[in-house]
Amino acid sequence: MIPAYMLVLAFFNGLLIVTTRIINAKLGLHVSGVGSAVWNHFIGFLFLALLMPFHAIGAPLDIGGVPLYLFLGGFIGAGYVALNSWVMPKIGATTATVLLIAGQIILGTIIDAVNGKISNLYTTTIGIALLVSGIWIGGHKKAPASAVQT
Amino acid sequence: MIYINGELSRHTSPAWSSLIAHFVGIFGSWFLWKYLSKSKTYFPYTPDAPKWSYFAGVIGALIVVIANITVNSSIGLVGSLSLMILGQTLFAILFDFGGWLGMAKRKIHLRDILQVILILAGSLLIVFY
Repeated sequence: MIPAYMLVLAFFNGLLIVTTRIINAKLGLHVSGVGSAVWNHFIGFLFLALLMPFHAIGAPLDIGGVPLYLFLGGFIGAGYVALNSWVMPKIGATTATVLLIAGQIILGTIIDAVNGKISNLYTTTIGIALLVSGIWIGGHKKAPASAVQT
Repeated sequence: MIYINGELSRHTSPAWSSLIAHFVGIFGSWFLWKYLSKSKTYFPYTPDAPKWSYFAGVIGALIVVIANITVNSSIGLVGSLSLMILGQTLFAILFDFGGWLGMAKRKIHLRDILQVILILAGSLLIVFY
């Protein structure tokens, strides 16, 4: 039996994700996209550091044997927030969000493929085809058909 | 990024991994900012930006904590990912449509809806199978 409040919590997390990105983008209009990334990581770090004492008792940090490159994810995160703050005011929250998701899924699939972890080649191929066609139709915004409004 | 942070959390824990990623991210973004804007100051602060907009990182940190909870519950990674993708997309549409949080109000075109459906369907197909 899947607890309903977990489903609501995961769905609600989606709202939080969009909200931070929009707030970041709003700040980015004043201090540049990269500037908003500085604040995002600085404030996020401080807040997480405040929460850590509750967590660290159960799971003390042991970084022995962790490959060095795994510490560099934060650099990509910085570029990610900066890029998002820069494009979101230009193309809107919806387009920015679905394109970000598409990019993540496609790169994730490539990494899985390299590691030989594709479980179903058939559905993965159809999925990628849907993603690419979705990205592709977005690139033709100036076509007359886009005048159709709902 | 998700892959690297995921691997890092496999070695440590999701909260530690996020803390480390945020810490590294401060320096990464600061160097980028300093280099790109050639700013004379040491922090990207301006009094014209609304004060609350500096605090998006608090929600960012909460997202990690909540994701940590749902991924480790019975709905798992796949359930969490799909619902987060769904939530993000639906609320992004609402924010655009309503012009909330200072977003420019946008009309939703047929093409936008088609794009959302295609990308959502493709993502969920890959996540689920």
